[in-house]
Amino acid sequence: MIRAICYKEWIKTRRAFLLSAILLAAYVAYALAHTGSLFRVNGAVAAWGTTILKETFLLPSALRWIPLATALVIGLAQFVPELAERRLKLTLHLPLPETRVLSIMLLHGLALLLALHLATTLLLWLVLARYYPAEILLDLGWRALPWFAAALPGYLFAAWACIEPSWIRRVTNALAAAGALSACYLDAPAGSYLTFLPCLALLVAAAFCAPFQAAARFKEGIQ
Amino acid sequence: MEENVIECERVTHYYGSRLIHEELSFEVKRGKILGLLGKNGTGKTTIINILNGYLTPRKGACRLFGEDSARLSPATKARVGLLLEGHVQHAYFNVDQIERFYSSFYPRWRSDAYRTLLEKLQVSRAQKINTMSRGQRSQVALGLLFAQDPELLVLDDFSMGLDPGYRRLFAEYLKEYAADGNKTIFLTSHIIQDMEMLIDDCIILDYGRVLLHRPAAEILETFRRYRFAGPAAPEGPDFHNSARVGDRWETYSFLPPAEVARRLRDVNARDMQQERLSLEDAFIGLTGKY
Amino acid sequence: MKKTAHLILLLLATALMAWLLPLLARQSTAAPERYPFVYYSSLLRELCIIDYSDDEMPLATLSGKRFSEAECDSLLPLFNFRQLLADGKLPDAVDGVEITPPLLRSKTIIFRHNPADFASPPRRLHVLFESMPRRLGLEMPPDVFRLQENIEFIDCESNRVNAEKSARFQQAFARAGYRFPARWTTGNPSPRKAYDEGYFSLDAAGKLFHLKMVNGKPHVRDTRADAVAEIAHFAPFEPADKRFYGFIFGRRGDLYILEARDGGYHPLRLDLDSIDVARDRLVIMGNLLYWNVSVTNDSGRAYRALRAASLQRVAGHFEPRPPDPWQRLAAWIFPAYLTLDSPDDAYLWPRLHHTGRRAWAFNFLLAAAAAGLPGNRRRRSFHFAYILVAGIAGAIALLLLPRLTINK
Repeated sequence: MIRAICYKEWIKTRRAFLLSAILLAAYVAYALAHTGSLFRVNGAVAAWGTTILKETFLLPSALRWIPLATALVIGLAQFVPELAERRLKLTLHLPLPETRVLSIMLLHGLALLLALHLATTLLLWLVLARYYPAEILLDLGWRALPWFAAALPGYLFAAWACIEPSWIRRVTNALAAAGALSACYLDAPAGSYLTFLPCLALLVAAAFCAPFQAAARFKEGIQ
Repeated sequence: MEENVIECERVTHYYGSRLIHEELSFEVKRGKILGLLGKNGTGKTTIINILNGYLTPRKGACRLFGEDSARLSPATKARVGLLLEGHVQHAYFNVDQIERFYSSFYPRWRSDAYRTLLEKLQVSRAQKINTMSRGQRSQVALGLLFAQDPELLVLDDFSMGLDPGYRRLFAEYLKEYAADGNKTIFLTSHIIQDMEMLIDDCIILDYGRVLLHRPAAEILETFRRYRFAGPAAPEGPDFHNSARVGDRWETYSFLPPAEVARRLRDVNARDMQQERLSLEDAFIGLTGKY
Repeated sequence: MKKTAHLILLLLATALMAWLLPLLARQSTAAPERYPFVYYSSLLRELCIIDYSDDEMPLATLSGKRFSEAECDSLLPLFNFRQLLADGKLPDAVDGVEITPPLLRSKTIIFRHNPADFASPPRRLHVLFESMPRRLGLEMPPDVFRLQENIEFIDCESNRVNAEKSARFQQAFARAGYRFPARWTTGNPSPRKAYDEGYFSLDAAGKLFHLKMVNGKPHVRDTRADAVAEIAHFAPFEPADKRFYGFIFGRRGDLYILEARDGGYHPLRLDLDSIDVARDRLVIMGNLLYWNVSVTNDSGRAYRALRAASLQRVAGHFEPRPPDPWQRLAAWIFPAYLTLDSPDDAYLWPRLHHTGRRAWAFNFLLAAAAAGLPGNRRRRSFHFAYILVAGIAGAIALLLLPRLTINK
């Protein structure tokens, strides 16, 4: 039955997954081209120097928002069809505990995002390892970590906003989500988020509860 | 022992400050096909949503197989088949995919029932449900329900948006499905004539209350329209929606014709004519025209 | 599940408000710290407070004397020497010491230190400039180095270790007695300098070593500064007169400069009260004769005047922290609030701040108001208790979330 639910979620999300994969692959290609260009025009010494001395972020700045964008794309692809014609009623009527059904759906989305982002991180590491030593790559990783981390609660909050039956509450949910996610976009040097990792984990755990609250309101018939 | 498959006990609900139901109570016994009738705004959808578990009433509760309808156990959910208004299904599936999905959940899945129904539709197995007509989608939804083989079917407006051919097909299949006596069906529809050939019992809702809960055959047998000439119509709870039509009166009653004739004579009525009614006419007679 | 999910979201929303509301309030009330500018007058032999908003008598000594703007420049010749030079009023000597503008410029020191300078993620790659460049100005070298378990130079173009150069430097470390792994390495790398003194590194035994590259050759020396102090941190500094290499912060709150004399390294202690590296902000404005040191923390600012040569104290003064608009607001409205960052370190993590008892009264008023709203008794009791503890953040969180309906 878990497989069946994952199958259903996959049917809904496969296009969004593909689109996100293309977007991330395009970014990796762009990052590679950008780095090559940086090295040819300014030289390796200048490129390394600018990040070591001035902590310049060496990759195109779109990386800040792409992970969250993929999270929203997958979240909407998964949950907008459930809310169209209130199809979530059918899903919650399946002969399984409702908590389990919703958990599987959410874990499916999270798994897709993790797969995409881990693959992207690995690919970026592989293509950039030619140009930069491990320390610079790690610094890039630390800088990008909160942006990738934002994708997980971002996806869960998107599900929360979708499942919430009241439009006014959807707006307040979205605002609250934006406020919570802003903690992942603070300006800080590489490595500063090391001490924030437990908070990020708590944020993901708290965000995981949010769709259940909305589903309970959906079941009550709130409109 | 006859079992109450559906029990609604003292259900009270408001939308904001508007009362929809007050202390509404009824039961549906195993093996019955019950039709819920009522004008728009009398709370049919409210009752269906409470039965489905997607609306919590302010007071009271509905139970399916003895369990609170908002908190059904997975085992009980497997015994209940839902048809949502508009024959809503996961339309991003195709015909094959949706069967593959649902069959995993129900050990007693009857694939033949699904495929038999779909053969009539002339759709390919790879056709997505959201590309089908409303009638085709309704058959897919029906096929999935029959394949699930539930003991209780709750159907919200089963004939909505369907042309006469599909409506007749739907009703005939339901009748056949319930023929063995172990299946219980609770349904609503805007098209009362579709329900007439199908239902055993009938609940007619009025604003805030149950107006009537009787076997359909009894209503068709005993409830009649009377037309007559005279100065006035008889008064009292035995006569419903009396109205002047041109130079004659019409009224409705469950009373035996002889008793009605006597009561009409008391008000100097003459030239009385009585008619047997269809379920739709009986409904209008009981609830009035808009 | 419904109650659990609702409670968790309520806590999340409260934490969010406890962070965002004060953040917005702080940004709305942001104002510069209003400490007076204090400088030691080599003529008056006193600390002076200069307030340029007072047009008539901007300078006041601690003993109460006041002076006009015209007198101000002359009374602080070592601070205002450029203005005096422009006005043609620069004296030939101060306190018996002959002065010239180039001498005064070379002795001018401005050093700022924040706790976050040390409490930040360490840099793991460093750029080692040639200390004695043939041409004017520092050139970016073709490689960078890492200093952890050993020293390795990595060529930027090829992204490969330069084994030969690494081996040479590794031998120099071994000869100097450096024990790996390195605890930390610090420098002031920038091509926009006149000269570069390389890096200072604390080895595994707590000894401070000096690393630079001179004519392409490794220069690694034990400063032996650990004989004088248990070294916690080192802040490199390159004064124009090349008197010292930087500041040693000792574990016991002691502060030294590491003087360059006779080809060796000589720690010289600054006669100051104990410095808390994690909390104190330091500013040193030094001139030919005196160093003006201010140490600022949450309680206030301590001013010290030290003789430049001996770094012994000659005067001191303390200003308590002036109330700022945010603190005044917080004392009334936020008995506790969250921040994710701090001026004292570069790391992000949630910190809870307490402001005092007054704001609890505000919480009580809010809680009482909430309890007076319509609703069942259990809900009102919960709201009262929650807002009493969580204050305005909790109240807004309760408003943001829909009402929890409990089905009987």
